[in-house]
Amino acid sequence: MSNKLIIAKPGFNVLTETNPDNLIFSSDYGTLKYYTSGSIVFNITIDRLDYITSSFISHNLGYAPFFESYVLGWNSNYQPAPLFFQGASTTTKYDVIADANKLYFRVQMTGFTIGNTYTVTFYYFLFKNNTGLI
Amino acid sequence: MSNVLKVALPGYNALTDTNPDHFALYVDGSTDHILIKEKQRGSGSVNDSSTATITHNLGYIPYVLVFYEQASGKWRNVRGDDSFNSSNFYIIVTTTTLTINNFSGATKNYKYYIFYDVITGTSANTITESAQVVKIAKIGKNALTTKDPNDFIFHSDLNSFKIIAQGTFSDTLAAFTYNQLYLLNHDQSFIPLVYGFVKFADYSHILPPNGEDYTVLGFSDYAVRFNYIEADVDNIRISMSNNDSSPHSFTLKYYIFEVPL
Repeated sequence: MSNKLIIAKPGFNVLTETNPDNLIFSSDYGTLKYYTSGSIVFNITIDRLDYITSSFISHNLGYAPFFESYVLGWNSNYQPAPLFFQGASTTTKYDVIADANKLYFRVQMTGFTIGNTYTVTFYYFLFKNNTGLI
Repeated sequence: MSNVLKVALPGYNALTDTNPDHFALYVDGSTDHILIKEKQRGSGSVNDSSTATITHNLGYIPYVLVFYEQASGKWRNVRGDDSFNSSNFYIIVTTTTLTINNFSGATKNYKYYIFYDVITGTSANTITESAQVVKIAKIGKNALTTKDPNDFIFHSDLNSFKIIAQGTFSDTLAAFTYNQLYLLNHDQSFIPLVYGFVKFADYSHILPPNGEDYTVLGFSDYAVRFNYIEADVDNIRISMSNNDSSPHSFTLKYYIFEVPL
């Protein structure tokens, strides 16, 4: 019999419970482990009808990690990314992708008034979990 | 030497392995490998052209996961707005609430999970601990005195987000193929929470679902897209599109998480 570390939720018997949803923790199951979080800000001045900007942060893990990203968009909403939404005459796209060393962020705003300014902030969690894809 | 606590997954040696992916819990004293900690969960339904608001009152923007039944028996993670996939269903998070917005044309069921982990803001929350706990503080925090969930790598009063299974799938998308659906048996007794990333063979990026065409992102010269990933009672379902004149190979890395839907 293997050694295990298992912690059951209140009301469940750790010696007999097999449903992982009734466990706080079990050494039988992997976990997402994040090690850093941060943000990147885009200060935008619309200078064309199809405005695009992008940037990146370096994680330098040497592999493509599991990541999560939220965006505080120009409409002051916090939402998970990627996302795409349409207004009456505008479209907005927020994208996030990663490679072995960087996390890339992209903003595309189409149909906005030239000269208007906006601030868009991406927030990210970087996990040590290696997707194994790169 | 730092204090360490390492709980290896089956088949791995906690004494010799150094890959955090091979551990359920990995505390090495030099880097915090923090487990996501659940605060609350729930479910409901929201009518078309309506919203549902859930209060969390954490005082900061927390990490949340929301799934909705986009079609009968098919549950999909909400990534901001699902407009790419012609389903206007999205979430908005504030420092006190999670709001589920449904403009999809029909009533939708949803399930949500709110975690203590901070997207942005400052945590001043505390929990009332059980009489007996196992807890591991982050570097620089005192496990004996702090009660803020965000000061812990792990706390036995707070559910840890478990990866039940993970795997890969590879295929080649034929030229000019749109919304190609793949079904991968997940072998679970419930509809699981699933997520994943895709990498195309010719390039070195991983793409999450619900994003733009790869070529539009400026890194590739062919228009392929990871439309979505979702699950039903039997399968993980992924949708891919290839708007290029050539076929393209891809690999999906998928994760099956604990929470039954």
